[in-house]
Amino acid sequence: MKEGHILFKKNLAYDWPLYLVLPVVFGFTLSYLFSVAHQPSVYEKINIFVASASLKSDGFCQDIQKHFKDEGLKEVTTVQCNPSDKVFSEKLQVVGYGGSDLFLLPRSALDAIAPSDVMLPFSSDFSSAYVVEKTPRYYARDNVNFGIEIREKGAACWLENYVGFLDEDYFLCLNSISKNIGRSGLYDNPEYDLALKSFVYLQGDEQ
Amino acid sequence: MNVINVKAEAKKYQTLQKRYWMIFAFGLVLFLGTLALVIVYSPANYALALWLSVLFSTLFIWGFLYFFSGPHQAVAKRVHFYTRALQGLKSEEELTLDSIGVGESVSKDGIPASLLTASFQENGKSYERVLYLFAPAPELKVGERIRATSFASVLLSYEVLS
Repeated sequence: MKEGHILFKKNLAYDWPLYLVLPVVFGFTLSYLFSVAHQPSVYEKINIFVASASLKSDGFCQDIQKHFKDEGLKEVTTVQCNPSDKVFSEKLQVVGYGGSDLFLLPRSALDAIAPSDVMLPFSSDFSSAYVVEKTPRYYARDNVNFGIEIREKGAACWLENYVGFLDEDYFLCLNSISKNIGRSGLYDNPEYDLALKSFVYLQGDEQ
Repeated sequence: MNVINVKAEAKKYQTLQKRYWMIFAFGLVLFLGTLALVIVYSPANYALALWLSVLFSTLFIWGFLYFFSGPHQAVAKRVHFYTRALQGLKSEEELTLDSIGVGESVSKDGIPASLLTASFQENGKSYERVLYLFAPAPELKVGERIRATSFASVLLSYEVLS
């Protein structure tokens, strides 16, 4: 034991950087592992695709997150793109279709796509359960509703605090492959409905 | 007269090395297992758990570094030497002892040793021969002639000639 201690003292002159570097590296590794372990699950976060001139993303996300914090919503993120951008269509199809739960789109953007590819068609049951407006205006294609109007061209809307709307009618749509729309979409997971709750909230029900 | 029983020493230090490894492996598994449980079951606000984990990990890493640069290395060096001594060629020579050092003032292959200075005759000339002693040999006296068996200049056994 004494011999080992002497060896340790001798080696310390060469090894001392390890005593500093290894704990720091391990500390960062632990921090990363903790963040990965506590990353919100797919049903604890929502993503909203917003087609607008501008977006105050932080305030917008915090507003929604604060509202549904007690119901398990841990993270709200947005993807924003101006419809006049050249890459808008690609961004909508690649990023939006693949990862967004909700879409906030102007009429021109909806006219340019095939909503049936990805947007959730509103059944009458769905409309009666989640559409707030008494006399709603929908975005329809081939007599199927895919979006609910939340801002009429030129009219005021509470979301103007965050969203730089274009001078068009705006519609709120749901992604049919979202895992947060209960059993309305592709997945039968009735407990995970944060996107539906946000859908109702964004219509201005609780303002 | 044996100074070192190489076979017994090799076995002793190999066993000790195995025990060290088992203690280390047990400690490592315990540490990583606890860490995994803390990470998985920590609350949503995990700042305290993270800092405590970093603190205990630092202590573990320091312990780990101490273990491998101190006690384990001391044993590993002996295992290395005795394993080589078991298999290697030993040299046998007749020497006259000139001086016998005491204490652990030098080291041979990382093992503390004392020096034994002797001389031998070859072609009518006298040459100096330095041997290392890993264990004390109190029976040896200056001026004695011995037939020494050594490995890598470490005295393993001897026979007193006069």
